[in-house]
Amino acid sequence: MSDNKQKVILQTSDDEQFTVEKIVAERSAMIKSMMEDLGEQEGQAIPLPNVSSSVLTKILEYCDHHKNEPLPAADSSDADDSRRKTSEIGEWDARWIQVDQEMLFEIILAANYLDIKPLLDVGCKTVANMIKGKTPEEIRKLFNITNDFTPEEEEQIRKENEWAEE
Amino acid sequence: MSLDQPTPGNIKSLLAPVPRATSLPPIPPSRPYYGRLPDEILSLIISFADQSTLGTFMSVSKFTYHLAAPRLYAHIIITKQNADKLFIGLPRSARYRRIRISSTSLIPTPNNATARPIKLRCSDVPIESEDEEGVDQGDPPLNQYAYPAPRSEKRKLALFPSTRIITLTTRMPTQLCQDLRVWARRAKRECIKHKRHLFPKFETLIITGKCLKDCADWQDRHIVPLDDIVDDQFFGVLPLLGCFKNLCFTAPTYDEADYDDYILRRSKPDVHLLSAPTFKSTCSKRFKMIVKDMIPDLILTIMEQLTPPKKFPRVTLHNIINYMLPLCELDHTMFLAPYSRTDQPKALLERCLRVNKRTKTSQMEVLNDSIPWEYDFDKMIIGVPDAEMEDIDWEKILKYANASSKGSQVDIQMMSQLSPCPCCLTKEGIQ
Repeated sequence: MSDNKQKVILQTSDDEQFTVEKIVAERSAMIKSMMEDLGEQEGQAIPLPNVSSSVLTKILEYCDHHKNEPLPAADSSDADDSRRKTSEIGEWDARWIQVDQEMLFEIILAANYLDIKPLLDVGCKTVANMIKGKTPEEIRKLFNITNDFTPEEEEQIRKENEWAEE
Repeated sequence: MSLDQPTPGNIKSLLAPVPRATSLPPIPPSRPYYGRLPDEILSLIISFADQSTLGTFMSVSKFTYHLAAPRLYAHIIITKQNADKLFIGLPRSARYRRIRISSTSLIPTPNNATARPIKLRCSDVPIESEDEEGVDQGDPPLNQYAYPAPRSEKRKLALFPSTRIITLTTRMPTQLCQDLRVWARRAKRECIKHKRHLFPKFETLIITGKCLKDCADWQDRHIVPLDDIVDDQFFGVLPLLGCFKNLCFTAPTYDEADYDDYILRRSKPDVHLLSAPTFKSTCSKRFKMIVKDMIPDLILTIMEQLTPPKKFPRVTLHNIINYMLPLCELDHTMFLAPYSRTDQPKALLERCLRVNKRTKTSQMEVLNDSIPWEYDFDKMIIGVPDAEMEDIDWEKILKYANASSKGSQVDIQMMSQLSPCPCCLTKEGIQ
């Protein structure tokens, strides 16, 4: 029974329910395996306690647009490299991901949780582009990273790796 | 996590593919505005970062330092601007420090625009007035902290083993080359058994057309006679970097912009300037000299350093118009210049065939001084632009070539059928 029109119900952290096509929901490897585990229990909602309704709405938009593409292989390091080489973000994706920083981070976290690899990549690439030209202090603030260098160490390391900043 | 001694396991785990969470990542409901992203996501973001962002990540925290380091140092592109900075941390000679200081104090201002740099009286050190241009001038004059720190060298040397590929786009400054030699001598003294290299896991050296142009220009500015072999200052330092397995280099093409550059760099009235056509022919002569003498020397030096079983580095030559004999004995691929006219490959192979046994033997004898002959280095592939395949009787030429080069195999293939260079991944090379 692999009817593509089959529907799945997803329940977000703020208790909203979304009814989506199975083929759309299956973009998420996490939901896919969960559906396999649940079997044919029609009408039962899949809880997503880490995803809010606003983020899920956004992500479903992405999944719907990409629903007909082949799913990425479960795990392969070669695919990892080839993905990395094409660091360009697709035109639609680039437009779609034009959101504020908070939303962007939420999308990335949700993509990680839902295990949607291509989306996770798009999100991380967007962040990588966003932080170009930022200072270490700005990056620390953005990612909430504590500086564990002494000021002296930091200055020395900055100097040692200054060559990279062309 | 100790910064000075990244344990091998540590680095390895950082290089491993990012594990995907299969269980729920713990996210507390009351996350601050931008919560701390999980480390695996941070590491994924860093994997997409460009060179300068990686450089910034190095000084963000110890964790990001170890994430960014292997990526930043995996492929190093040495340019005129970063050559000196790349080796910051290694001990430098007093003269280099003087240059660093003087270059900030001697920037011409409207008042002292005519001031000339002080000529140093060191007869054994060539005076370089132009090689340091554009370097360090933007530096703040004073450092709050003593530099380089005692730990800098150790830290830097812990980073270099990540390097697999080096692309040279410039002739490294002479002073830097000399300092690296001093460093290598010291390193060799300290561990005699296995000679230390700066980049112990270095595999691929890419010499771009710009780098070779730079070398030719350097020789010209230092009034080196055309047929004089001198530049082991620079080429001699390359084997210290490491034992590369692949070497790729691109014959430079010269155009009008290069001639303008040439005029610009010699704007002093007392210099005799060449006319444009002479410039072009002089440059290509210099280039030929470099290829004829420096590159084989470089390969032989690398060979000497290898422990048996010795294997020649795989050499790829790009954009070649002229056939150069010393290299034909090596295992290499040669991509002919895509722009070479129809008659050129013909002339080229005729030249190849004209080389008689005696010339060849004497050339081999030169090589023979340092290589024992039992090693295999006998395959050569010549990539010919597709359009030129038709007019020429390649079969006949191949037969000739293979017969005259005893034991070695010469193969001529269409450019489109050859796989690209394993180093620079193109067939045209990197200008």
